[in-house]
Amino acid sequence: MLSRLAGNTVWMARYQERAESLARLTAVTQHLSLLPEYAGAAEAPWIDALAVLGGVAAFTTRHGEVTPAAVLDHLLLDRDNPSSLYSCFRGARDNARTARHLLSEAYWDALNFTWLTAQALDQDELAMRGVDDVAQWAMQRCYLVRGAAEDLLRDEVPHALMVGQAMERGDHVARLLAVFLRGELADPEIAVVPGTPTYRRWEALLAATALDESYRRAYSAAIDPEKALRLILTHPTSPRSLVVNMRRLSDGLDGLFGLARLPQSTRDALDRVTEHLADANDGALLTGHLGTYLMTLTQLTDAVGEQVLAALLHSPAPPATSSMSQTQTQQST
Amino acid sequence: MAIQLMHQELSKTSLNRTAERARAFNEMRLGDQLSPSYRNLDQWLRHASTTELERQQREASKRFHRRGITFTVYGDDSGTERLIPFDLMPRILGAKEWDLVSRGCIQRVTALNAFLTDIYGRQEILAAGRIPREAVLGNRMWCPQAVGVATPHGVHAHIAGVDLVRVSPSQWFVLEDNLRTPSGVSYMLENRSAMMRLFPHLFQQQAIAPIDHYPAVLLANLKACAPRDRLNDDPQVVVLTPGSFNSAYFEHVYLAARMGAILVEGGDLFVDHGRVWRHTTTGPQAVDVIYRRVDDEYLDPAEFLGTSTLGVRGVMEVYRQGRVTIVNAVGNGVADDKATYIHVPEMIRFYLGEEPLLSNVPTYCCSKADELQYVLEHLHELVVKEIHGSGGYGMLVGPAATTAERLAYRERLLADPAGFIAQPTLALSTCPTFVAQGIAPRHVDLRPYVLSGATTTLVPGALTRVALKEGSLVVNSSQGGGTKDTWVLCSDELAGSGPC
Repeated sequence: MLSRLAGNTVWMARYQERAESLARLTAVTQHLSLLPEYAGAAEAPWIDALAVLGGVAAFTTRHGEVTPAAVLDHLLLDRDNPSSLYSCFRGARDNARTARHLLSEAYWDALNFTWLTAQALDQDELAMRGVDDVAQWAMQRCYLVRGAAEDLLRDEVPHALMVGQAMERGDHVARLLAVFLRGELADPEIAVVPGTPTYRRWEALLAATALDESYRRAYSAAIDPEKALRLILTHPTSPRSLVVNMRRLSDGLDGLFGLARLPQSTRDALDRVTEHLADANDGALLTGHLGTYLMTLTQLTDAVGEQVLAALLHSPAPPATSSMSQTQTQQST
Repeated sequence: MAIQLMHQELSKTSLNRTAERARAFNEMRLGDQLSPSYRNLDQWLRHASTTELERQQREASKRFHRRGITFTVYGDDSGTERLIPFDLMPRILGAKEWDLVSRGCIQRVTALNAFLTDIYGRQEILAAGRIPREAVLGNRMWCPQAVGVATPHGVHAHIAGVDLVRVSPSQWFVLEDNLRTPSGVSYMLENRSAMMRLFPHLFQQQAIAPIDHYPAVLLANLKACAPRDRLNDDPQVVVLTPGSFNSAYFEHVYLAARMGAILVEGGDLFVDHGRVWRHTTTGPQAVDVIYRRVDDEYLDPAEFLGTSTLGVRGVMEVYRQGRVTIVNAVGNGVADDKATYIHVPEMIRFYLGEEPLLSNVPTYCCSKADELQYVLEHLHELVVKEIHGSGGYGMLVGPAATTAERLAYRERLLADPAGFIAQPTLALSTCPTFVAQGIAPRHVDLRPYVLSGATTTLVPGALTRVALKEGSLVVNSSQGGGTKDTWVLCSDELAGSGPC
């Protein structure tokens, strides 16, 4: 696969995943903001949403006071916010356009029609349809795009999709944990009782990671913070645990570059995240050093992201003629 | 994509539109006589409502938008991707009508390929005095870098877009031969695809020759023209695009996808150890055939424009050594130039020993004193073009020009007579077209795509461009032109079995 298109395909998948995460977090935040604990302080969950999406300071610099309406505009519609839903769909589509010949008609159509529809999204439409409806629509479009990937040729393209999706997902989940697991949620002394604000916040965290239903199926019980964390971090059958995500990232990189061809520093960065996640299994997570653990997780995840982006930018130097012929016969196109 | 062709526009004031329309050949109806090819369409139109047609028109637009069949308008900041208007009414050619177009185009392109092989080789046609030496070697498009390159099968124009206009049931004129990077074929294919979805019953009622094998034929030809000296058993074909901001980018993607070829930009390729390679995630991979949609002057900064970032440094040397095939070949501009155009009938006679099946438009060469005199005396009724102009720029449409414009052009002509040619204004044929007023005749041209590899063929179809404005002869997409699907009937009453 052309190095340039590998990079574009990874970014396409990242934008697509980012759009889905953003839409889901918007729906979750909208729900939280309607709860009694936020009566009179509806901006609080929106500040958290901004923090997860990396931009409280950027937001206040541009817009000043945080209000739900202003945050929604910023997150969903703002064409100047490079991480808004609009910009994500646009970024996915623009990158897809450069690699369109590698994608199926169905995949392109799912992605392009999403973008065409997103362009018509404005304040009036948001007001008319409501936040939840728009967020659900965006998520469903993302599911459709992911589903269309099923029929792509099993060459490097699906691996590039895996890399982009796993990078973005790992990054997003690390940020979600860092923002949500503060205060009462990080305090092992506070009981998590259904019907309380703390419990609802755990529910929101699971919903934001798309693991709420999996939790119910896996445990068929009220939320236990330790189990919830395990589902998010290390559970082997969790569809979205960070361990599973790291495996997908590693598989994707292997399919795209061949793990052996990656620099040692990249492989080391991957190993460090995996080892750090394994530490979560010792059961001591909630006994006081969760904050430190999550901070390290975020740093290690960031380091992997940097390594992968460097690998995508790296352009292999031409080898000598003899080895070129060898490369030619050994590598598929 | 802005299709680079402009035909003469008649002045709204100097020519009576009704008289002009009456003069133009209507392909659906000759007087009161309905063309047999249009019988089914006519039947259907009798029952189709405007509301239904409008709905189908919206469906078609939606489909083109969803599929991203757009062209980029240069210098337009507001919306960079636009649709070329698509007309729902097909243009229909009977099998016998097509047979003439098909044989005529193959004949013409075969001769043009022989000409290119000859002039960059032995130059027999010049030695025989059949074409003036100066017309070729003194032509601005003559490319010394292409001299002596032996192209596989002697093919230089692997893809040729021959622009035709029709003035009567049996008379077609060739306006120009596009032998460099002719575009628009994706519209031919997508128009058909849209029509089959929108009007399946019309396809059920009569056998219409399929065209969707075009990419397969193109790919087979590209591989057939791969260099013998190569590393891949199965030739590696790439489509070289200037990038996603190019006006024809959709077409580049489309053709790469339909051929399963790799779409590359200049920066994806490099030359090393006498071969062309592409950068991939698993290391360099050799490239055998470059179907480039980049003009000659941008192809290799080492030999042409040194500032070009669209091409590949060193590719021309590999090309000359016969280790990569460039499609279309380098240096074709000398054969599709307006000054060379007048010599194509002679090429057909010289190389093939045949008489041309398709006519040239009578052309006055202003470099000849007597012809220049005639042109100066008849500026009000002629179209005058710069020899190296394209896209309709820099030309004078005599009947539509003001006296002041004609006088100014006269000065330009006198200053550099050899830089111009002139032709009579043609009454292009019309076809039924769905416009705001309903179904009405509009002027059309025809661009079939001729493919050359081990043999020269064309799929039974073409791009029909239509001037949507009443009375206009401008089919250029940037000036109110649109496109239509072109149906070639598998058989007709006149020809029996046809192209299917």
